[in-house]
Amino acid sequence: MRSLLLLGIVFSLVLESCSPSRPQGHAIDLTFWYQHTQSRAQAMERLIHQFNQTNPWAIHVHGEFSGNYSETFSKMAAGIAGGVLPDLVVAYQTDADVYREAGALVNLTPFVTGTAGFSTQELADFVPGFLKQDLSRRFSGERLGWPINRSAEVLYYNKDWLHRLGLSRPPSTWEEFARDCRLATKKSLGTVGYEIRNDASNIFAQVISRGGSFSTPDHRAFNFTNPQVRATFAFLAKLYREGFAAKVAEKYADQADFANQKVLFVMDSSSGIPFYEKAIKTSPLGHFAWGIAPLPHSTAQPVLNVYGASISVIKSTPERELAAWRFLRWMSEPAQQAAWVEASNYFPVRFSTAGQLTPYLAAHPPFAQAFSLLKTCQLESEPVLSGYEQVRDAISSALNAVLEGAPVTLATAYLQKQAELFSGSRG
Amino acid sequence: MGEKSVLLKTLTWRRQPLSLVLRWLTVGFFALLTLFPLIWMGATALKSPAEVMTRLSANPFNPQFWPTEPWWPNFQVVWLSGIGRGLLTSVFLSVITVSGLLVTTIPAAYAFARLEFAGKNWVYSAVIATLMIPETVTFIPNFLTVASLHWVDTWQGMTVPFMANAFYIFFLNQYIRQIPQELFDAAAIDGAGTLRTILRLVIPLLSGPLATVIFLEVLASWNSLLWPLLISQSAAWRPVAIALARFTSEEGSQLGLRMAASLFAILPMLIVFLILQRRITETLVRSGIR
Repeated sequence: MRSLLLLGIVFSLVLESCSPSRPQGHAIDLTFWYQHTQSRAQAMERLIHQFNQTNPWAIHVHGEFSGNYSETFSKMAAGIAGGVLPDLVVAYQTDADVYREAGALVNLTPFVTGTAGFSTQELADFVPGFLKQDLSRRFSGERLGWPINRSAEVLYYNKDWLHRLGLSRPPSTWEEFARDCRLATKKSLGTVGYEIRNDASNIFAQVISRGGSFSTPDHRAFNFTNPQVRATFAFLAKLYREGFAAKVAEKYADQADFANQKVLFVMDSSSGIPFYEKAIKTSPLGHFAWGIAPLPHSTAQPVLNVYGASISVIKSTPERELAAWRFLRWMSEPAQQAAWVEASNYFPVRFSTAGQLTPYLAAHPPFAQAFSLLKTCQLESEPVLSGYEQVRDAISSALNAVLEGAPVTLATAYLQKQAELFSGSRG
Repeated sequence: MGEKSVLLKTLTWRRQPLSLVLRWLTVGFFALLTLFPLIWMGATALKSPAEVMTRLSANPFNPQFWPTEPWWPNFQVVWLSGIGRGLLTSVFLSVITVSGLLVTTIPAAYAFARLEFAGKNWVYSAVIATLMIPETVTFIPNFLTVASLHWVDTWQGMTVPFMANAFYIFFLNQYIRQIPQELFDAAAIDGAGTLRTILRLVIPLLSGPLATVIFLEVLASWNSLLWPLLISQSAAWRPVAIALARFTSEEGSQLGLRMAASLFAILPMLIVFLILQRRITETLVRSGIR
């Protein structure tokens, strides 16, 4: 028994000695909870290290992996209750509203416009569609987060395959898209025009491309019974039942199928571009020309669903809050933005970053194409309404039901009821 | 009669190999079915990033199921990421948790099974009733307790909340009740007190059930993700489950790496299971728990 205890103590000491020591002796030590893993986490840590080494205020940021988005949310929920919180946390806009309701978040507007903020000229350099996403409708326009990156839902297409089909460009309307899918589908070869990624962000992107939305015009309630939602569901169901579209078999299977030239079109986040690049590069079928385009649309101008989590600042002392803001401001500068883009393939939030990305954009044409869409497309974002996380699952279930034969009107009406229940807007 | 007996014997002899073959085939089929995920995991961990995308088959008899040649960098990358430290932390946390659990659970189970005290049935019912509370509901209250004790980001915070478990009290209680009263009487005549009776009589007789408790708790501690994520605020006490979570990627699959990391993570559990296998199986068969 004694030897076991001794062994335990030795073991504990070994672990303790191996643990990286927490930064001590800096003017302000901040903790930043993020969700990044692998190469993105390494890149984020490099940037944090650079900030720690170079900032003149002796601020030391300590980055911590806090799990994926939902795990980070759970960690925050427990932390708010127990009073154990970081200084900065990655948060989607719906999550930020919840944290703000608990009194845990800082309104960043005074920092943005204050002496440590940005000039009007500098603010004009930010992509407007990105900045407005963090202004909370629920809390009178308070800025509850600051974006350091964004992504968008885009169309990935096989350029060579389109040429073989006698087509010179990707489809710009949904009718053209359906026609191209029909041409590409060959049961004997196991090819299909499109693989449906049943995900709320993707469905939203298709709905806005028809001029619709998931919410009422005042953005205060969900609306899934509008003609554009129904048209999207009906369109996908028809394509699927006719065999010109298939469901994505498992997560990321569409990347493999696109790389293996089994599917002509997929719709995915622009931040997936490096993974597609890698898959195509390593495909035994060889390299092929491919491209990025906005989703087909029936609106006058193509519409992009832009999304991404921002970084929120936790309420603490004025000094700590300012220090946290200084870190966010530093991350928004073009040099850091460029470094982060190259590591993550997220979109930068400032147009001027492009000037520092010239070699990178030249080396990665699909990313350059996606990046250029920010200037040519109308930017929209998903509703920030309470219960949206649960509603997202309900949207996927509704589409799945429609694909399996449920009537569109019934499925969307049921979806509407569920959304009202989750958001607490009725009953 | 003699001829009939010879005939019967011949038929039995002839039937025996067939039934044996069928039995082995059935057992083999289910063994393969059970092992299939593990085999797939191993095969995928040994595939290069390109092969993960292209050599796709769910049939182990198809060459596409296997890598053309083993791709070891997956294991190198995973090891260099520091998964070894996660494994070490998990071993430490599991040992502490299980030790604490045994210290609380065995006496509690013994008390409910053998001692008489006022309100015993009420207290036992209350303990059993806690089984109906989902674990997720207890996270926030437990976190508040741990935070008020200043145990956030400490090994105490990671382990102490799991050092009592109603199911194991119930489980061991059933076995202690089955020990003949005569043995307890003999221990009492020999002058053994409660503690001595537990140490010298109950624990040796419960080696099978205790092996099961140890294995199930080590497994639960090993696989736990959300609680360590809530409690850990730095890399100091991050178990292997968190190290594994870091091998998920936000926008693309890195299946080879994930499977290599998973193999590292489950290997210690397989070793623990192989060591305790016989006792666990015996206990589960006897108790009818599946």
